[in-house]
Amino acid sequence: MERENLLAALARAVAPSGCETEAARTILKSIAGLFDEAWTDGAGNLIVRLSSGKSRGKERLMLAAHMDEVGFMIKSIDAEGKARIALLGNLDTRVLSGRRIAMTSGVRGVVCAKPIHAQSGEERSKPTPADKLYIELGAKDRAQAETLVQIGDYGTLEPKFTPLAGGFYAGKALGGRSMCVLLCELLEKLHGMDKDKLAADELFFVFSAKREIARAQFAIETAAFTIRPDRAVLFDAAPAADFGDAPETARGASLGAGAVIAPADAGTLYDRALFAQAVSMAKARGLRYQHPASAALPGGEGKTVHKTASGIRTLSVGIPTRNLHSGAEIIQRSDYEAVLSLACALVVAP
Amino acid sequence: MFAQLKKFIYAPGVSGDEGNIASVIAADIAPYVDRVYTDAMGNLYAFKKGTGKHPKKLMFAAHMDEIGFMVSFIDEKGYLRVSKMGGINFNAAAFSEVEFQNGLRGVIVPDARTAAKDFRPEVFYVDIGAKSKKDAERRVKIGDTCRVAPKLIRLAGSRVAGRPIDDRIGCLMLFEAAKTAKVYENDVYFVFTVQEEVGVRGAKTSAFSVAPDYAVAVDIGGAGDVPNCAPFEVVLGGGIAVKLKDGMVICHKKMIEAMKSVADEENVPIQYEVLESGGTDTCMLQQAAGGCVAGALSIPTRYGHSAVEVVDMNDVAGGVRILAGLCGTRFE
Repeated sequence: MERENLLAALARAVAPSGCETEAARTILKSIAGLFDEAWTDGAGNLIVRLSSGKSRGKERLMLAAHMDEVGFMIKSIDAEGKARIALLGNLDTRVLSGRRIAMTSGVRGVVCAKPIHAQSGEERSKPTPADKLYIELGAKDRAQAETLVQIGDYGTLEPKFTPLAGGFYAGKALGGRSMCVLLCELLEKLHGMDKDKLAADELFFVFSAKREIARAQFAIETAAFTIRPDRAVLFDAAPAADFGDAPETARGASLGAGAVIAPADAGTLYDRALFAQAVSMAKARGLRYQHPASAALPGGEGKTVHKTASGIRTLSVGIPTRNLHSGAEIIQRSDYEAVLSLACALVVAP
Repeated sequence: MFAQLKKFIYAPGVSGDEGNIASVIAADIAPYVDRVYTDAMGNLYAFKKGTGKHPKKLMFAAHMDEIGFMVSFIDEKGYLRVSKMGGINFNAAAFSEVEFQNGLRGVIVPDARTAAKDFRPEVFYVDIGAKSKKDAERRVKIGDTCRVAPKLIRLAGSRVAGRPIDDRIGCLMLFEAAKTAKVYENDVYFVFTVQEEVGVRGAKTSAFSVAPDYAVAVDIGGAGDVPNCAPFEVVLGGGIAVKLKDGMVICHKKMIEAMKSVADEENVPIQYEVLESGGTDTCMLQQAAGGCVAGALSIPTRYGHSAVEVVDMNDVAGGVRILAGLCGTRFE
């Protein structure tokens, strides 16, 4: 993976939904000089425009990956200097107790719960809900804690990145952020290329914000509305449950089985022509790809994007990811390469 | 109208895969309008320019998609697991013949030894008669759609039964209105929307495109005249139902009054529909692109989302006259 350093830097960036600054800054730094224009919109999306330099038409292609991650916000601070948190997104609460955390300011702490030896049998059998957890900052009282964190401050699980054997990577937010790396790598590849070969007159790379906290409308809607692309390709993590006793139809994506190309998920029926085109491109290039049972795929940003304005033809491509929303998401390099090759095929004119 | 309805019913169009039904409607409606076109999501528009001095943009919407299934997984023996598209009643769909877009047939059945009370989507599979996974993959791919086989029969009097009457009956009403309307005071957009059954998706984007001043959704409603049903005023044969509210929209008084006055002029019976829950394209028409004066006509329907949906064609004929009348209505 050429951009392993960027993947590591993004896994270590503390940038939960609503406070994506560090991820945006890291991304922008890594793609300096590779685009025509870049800006952050009102909803926090980082938008990067690359023009073919020609005015033969106005065909626009939007490529998107979300740069936010699940995390938490400081909700209150009690008299003993312990901070209570509200979760941002579907953070896996089973993994919270005893974990180190980082605030966007750099302040560190540990998530604490009632100790296991003091828990009742019933308490032990279930993960401690977020409202029963608190964060130990090392402060002796409220006044001291308030010098470390304020109500409304953002944080995430401890930023970690660990290459494993066999081309696996483990780290915080790797599923989504690896797709940001992919967009950066794509920009780099396009930079040296003849712009006549682009599949559209203008390409827009959207690093979207607040994806993890949405229930219905995603923040990427504002970017899609502003850009009004003819086509959109959304890159995101595809949940894997490819082990244990999960039934065949509920396993989601499998690591090592290549790019996830889904005809549908819980929120979107993807454009049939784009779906067929992606599959035939993957086939023609001998890329590994998979279609997990759509029942196993939650609805992503496509749900909002395809219904924006007059409607946008939308395709979803994913990287299989294990341990989603934990502090150690796992992806495999060969899957990343398959998604990247497919992305390259999609942005270059046939 | 029976033959035309049958034609619309036999053209497949499961949500997200409406190309087939769209081309049938497009060809049939083209002679009666100025322009026919589609958009990114596949919504079909038939536009007729108004001749009034101050024409308003009037949009009629009926969804052309229908509930069905998408192939999501093919197992080693060649059985297909499917993802449900829209509100499938699995008790009604169990042990039915299904039809794919390409004409391939199959049957949808629950896993062996599954009791009716356990009929959840994941216990169903489609048997196309394939001998193996390889054999199945020669005939279908992941993402292909299928539906419970279409059917339309005549019952007593002016009543018919079959599927998918939801909402090909609304498509028929728009088509018949375009065919019979004599006066076009307004610029009228007859819109055949996509993906209503999976969450009124096509209505959102088509209403944004048209940005109508006035809009009417036409879809099936319920009927309160069957044994043991909840109290509900609407009956089959009592006339087309003018929607007052459902779970997602409160219709605009101005539209309700406009419908009533056309009905009075044309001497067409109407009834009023107040739905506790559920919704149709109407809610999206009302909210799109700055909002508009929106209402809806509901065709009184028994046994919705089954293979034996029942409507009365007299209600339908009355509804057509109201739509045609609205084309010629001068909105103030």
